[in-house]
Amino acid sequence: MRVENIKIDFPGKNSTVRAVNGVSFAIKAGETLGIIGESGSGKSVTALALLGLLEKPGRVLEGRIIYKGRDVLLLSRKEKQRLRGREMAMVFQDPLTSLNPVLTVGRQLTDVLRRHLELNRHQTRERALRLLQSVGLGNHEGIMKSFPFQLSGGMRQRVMLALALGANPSLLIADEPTTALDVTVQAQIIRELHRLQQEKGMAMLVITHNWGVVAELADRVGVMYNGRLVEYGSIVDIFNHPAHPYTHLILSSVPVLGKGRKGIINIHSPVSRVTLNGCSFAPRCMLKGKHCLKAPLSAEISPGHFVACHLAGIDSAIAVERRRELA
Amino acid sequence: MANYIINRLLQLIPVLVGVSLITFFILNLAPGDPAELMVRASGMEPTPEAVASMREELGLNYPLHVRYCLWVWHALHGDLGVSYHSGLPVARELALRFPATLQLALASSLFMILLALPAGLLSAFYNRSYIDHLSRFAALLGASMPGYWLGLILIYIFGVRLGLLPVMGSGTIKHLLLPAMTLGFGLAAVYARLLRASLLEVMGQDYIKAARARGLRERRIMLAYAFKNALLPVVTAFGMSLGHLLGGMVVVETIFSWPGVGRLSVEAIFARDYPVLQGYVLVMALVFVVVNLLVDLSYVLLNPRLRIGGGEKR
Amino acid sequence: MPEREENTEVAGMNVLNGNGRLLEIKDLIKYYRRGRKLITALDSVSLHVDRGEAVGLVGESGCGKSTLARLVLGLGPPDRGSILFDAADMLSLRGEALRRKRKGIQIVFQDCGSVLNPRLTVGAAITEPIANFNPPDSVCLDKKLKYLFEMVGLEKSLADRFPHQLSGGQRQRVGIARALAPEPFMLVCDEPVSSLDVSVQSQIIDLFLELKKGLKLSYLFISHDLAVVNQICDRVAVMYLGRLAEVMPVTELVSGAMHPYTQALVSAIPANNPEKRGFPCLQLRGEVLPVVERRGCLFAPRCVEAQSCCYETVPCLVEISPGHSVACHNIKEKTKTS
Repeated sequence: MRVENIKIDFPGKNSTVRAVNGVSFAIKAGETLGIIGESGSGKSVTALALLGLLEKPGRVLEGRIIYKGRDVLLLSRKEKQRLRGREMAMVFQDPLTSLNPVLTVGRQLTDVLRRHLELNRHQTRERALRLLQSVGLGNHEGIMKSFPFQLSGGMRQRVMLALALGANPSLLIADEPTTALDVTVQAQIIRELHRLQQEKGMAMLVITHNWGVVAELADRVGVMYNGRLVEYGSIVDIFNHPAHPYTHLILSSVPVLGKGRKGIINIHSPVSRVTLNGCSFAPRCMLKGKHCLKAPLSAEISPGHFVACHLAGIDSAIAVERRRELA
Repeated sequence: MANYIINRLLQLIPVLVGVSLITFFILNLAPGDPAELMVRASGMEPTPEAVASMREELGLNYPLHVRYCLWVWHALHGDLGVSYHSGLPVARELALRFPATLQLALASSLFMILLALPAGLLSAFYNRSYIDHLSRFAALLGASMPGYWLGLILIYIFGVRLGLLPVMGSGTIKHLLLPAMTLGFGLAAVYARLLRASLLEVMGQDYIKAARARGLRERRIMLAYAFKNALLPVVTAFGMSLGHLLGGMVVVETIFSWPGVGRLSVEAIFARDYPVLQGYVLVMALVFVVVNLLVDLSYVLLNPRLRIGGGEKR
Repeated sequence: MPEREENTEVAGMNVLNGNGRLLEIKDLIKYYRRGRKLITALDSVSLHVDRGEAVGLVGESGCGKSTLARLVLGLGPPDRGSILFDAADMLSLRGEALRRKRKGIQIVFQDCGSVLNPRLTVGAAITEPIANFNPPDSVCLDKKLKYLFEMVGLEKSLADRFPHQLSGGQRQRVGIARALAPEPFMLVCDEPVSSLDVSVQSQIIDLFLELKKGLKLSYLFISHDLAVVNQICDRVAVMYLGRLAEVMPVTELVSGAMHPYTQALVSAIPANNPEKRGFPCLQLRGEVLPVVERRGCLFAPRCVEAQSCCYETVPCLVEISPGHSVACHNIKEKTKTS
């Protein structure tokens, strides 16, 4: 899957909100991409756009979403429906609200299987039971017959996983898959996601605000701020050599057990979403200079490590100059 | 489940006691002396003596509370008293008229469902399309037309101008059509709108988004995933508006001379026929409570959380 | 951070009674009724908070954290046990005396956005509790408001805004200012930073730390995030299904946790570095189960070290080193043998 420079707008009554502004990334088969960002950074909207599920009035303004050589945005409604669940599946944040409260787990599961696979009744049931087993649920028969409210949070999220994996998709999109769960359950679900990905060899897009989840699962990471991908690189690059001031800021803000706080560089100011010109992080940035009035382009500072900041990149003339000023 | 039903049936008792108390005493507060009316009705001069003897005959000379107790005692034995007007036992009179009312109620409910379900579903599915606008316009029309007026219009069009349907009396399906349409149309309008709103709300829920993300077809999502959830508030509202339906029955039965209990009650009011009125109110209260119980039971069937009960931790 | 101006304050200033214990909870029991069943929300919980101390209360959802907070705040009576606050029995106090004591303990909610009245400016929302406890006096109120805003790091100009016009972090500051308005000695904080983004979260944590130092506030800090508790609190109490599993100084959290549940909680925190991924030492079975029978150690069904005695008798909290108590049969064994 490749996403190229997508821009998503939410036209409002008075003004149009640009939720996503020129985001590009790629996910290879069997790889996990983590997208991290704070609330309102446009990460969930991006995920919905991949599935063609943007709700009105949101729309993809430009860009391309290439999946296995085809542009998802150009597909017909029918083709998109086929794609969803069969090729790309999604796990949502809150498993309680994402499961239909009045249908049994079995009914919801067999519905998906029957939609995407040519199976008879018996085979469907067999497969549903095997799926539940594969996501680590015991007592499959019982769970098939139960309603979502009878299950615990962790079990529900496992059911969500089973629903998503029903038709063996090659890309799993997980939107905040563990946010609504307790820590111990979160750990179990993360393990499960990791194991399932290894077994099935599928690609995964994990969207989260939690650095721990990214650290556990991702091969590569994209950091989103205000609708832009400000930094994008391998997990080691991002964690060990963060280059964007925003990445620095949030990495240093994460409380870590057994460690004191690192120095935090932060100016809090209301986040404005109108700035389409200039670096959108500049109002909060400690290092900002006059160049930041111009929007920074994403530059590759080392192989596969992209940063959208004027100050990143050792050789950039602006960076050298600004560093001299700051010193 | 059995416990639940028994519980609900036990709750019936205080309701019925309350209803009978209120109707009994309020009716007795109403001006006009039934004994005098009875005497007049039998063609005699209402001399004080004649009225007094009539009072005695009717048992009206006992104090109010004694009369209430007597009435309840007899009612418990299936004896609702004798109609002042016709001289027949009230229970028999009600039993004679009840089937017609039931028939009309069922027919108009059927008409309502046949109209409201497709209208609600279509206008939610094709939200903001011309189908939606059309059905919403029809619903607005239906909701804002009073029953008696709609009844008269229907009589004029189908009975007088077109001569297609009989406008009075009962007997055949044809007789049933106009009153059922009159009652059903107003109700259908309300429920079509309610169903549409409820469906649209459900369609915005996370689990619908999740079902879409699994690639299920829109039509399937609407019918299998959203419909059942959307029906819950509609069923609740239906239980609540039963009284409305019963009230509407009285008017419609009168307009179409439908020989149901509604018309009986109107006749009883004009004749100050207390036993019949008391019987009517009591029976209707009973019907209301029982139908409400049925509605609640269907609610329980629709909602697994109530059916299975508890066993959940947030 | 302005110092608390002791003498210029409005009438009705709280005065601390002596030193030492501020809040003492003893053998608190609380049941909830569900149908015919009684659900035990709190089972003999004893905990104390000293003056100027921050105690973290940690556990998974449904473990009774919020119930404890409600009882401490006086929202609903416990079924048994006692709550002493500022040397007064909160459960026997009535009327004006109770109102006065209650002033000393205030709450900060998780999501201040939903707690603030959307039609009231935040300034009005803050002065309302002051006016509630003291006779209103506009000059005084204005001074007080300015002081509170300064204390929580908000610009005074924001006082005329409505809650929806503020960012999440600002709203949380307003929530804190509101809690501080009646000059409490203690704040009960119910997941105060959980719904905030990390960068904002760290600012609010800093604010809590400053307030603690500046006003000598005590906290009962409820959170599911051990790392946050680690930064703010002096001691941490771990709850499991209505019982305390372990109470210890926060410094021992990482390496000195003795209860298997605490150890599991610590090991369940995702790595902060990709090189340490995979939860190497997570040892825990299943999930929190609904309790069928409150017999023995409630954690036993999930515990990898459970023995037969764990299913039979309830382990008591035993102090194994100063300020560190554990309720686990295996720990007793270990300490006996050593």
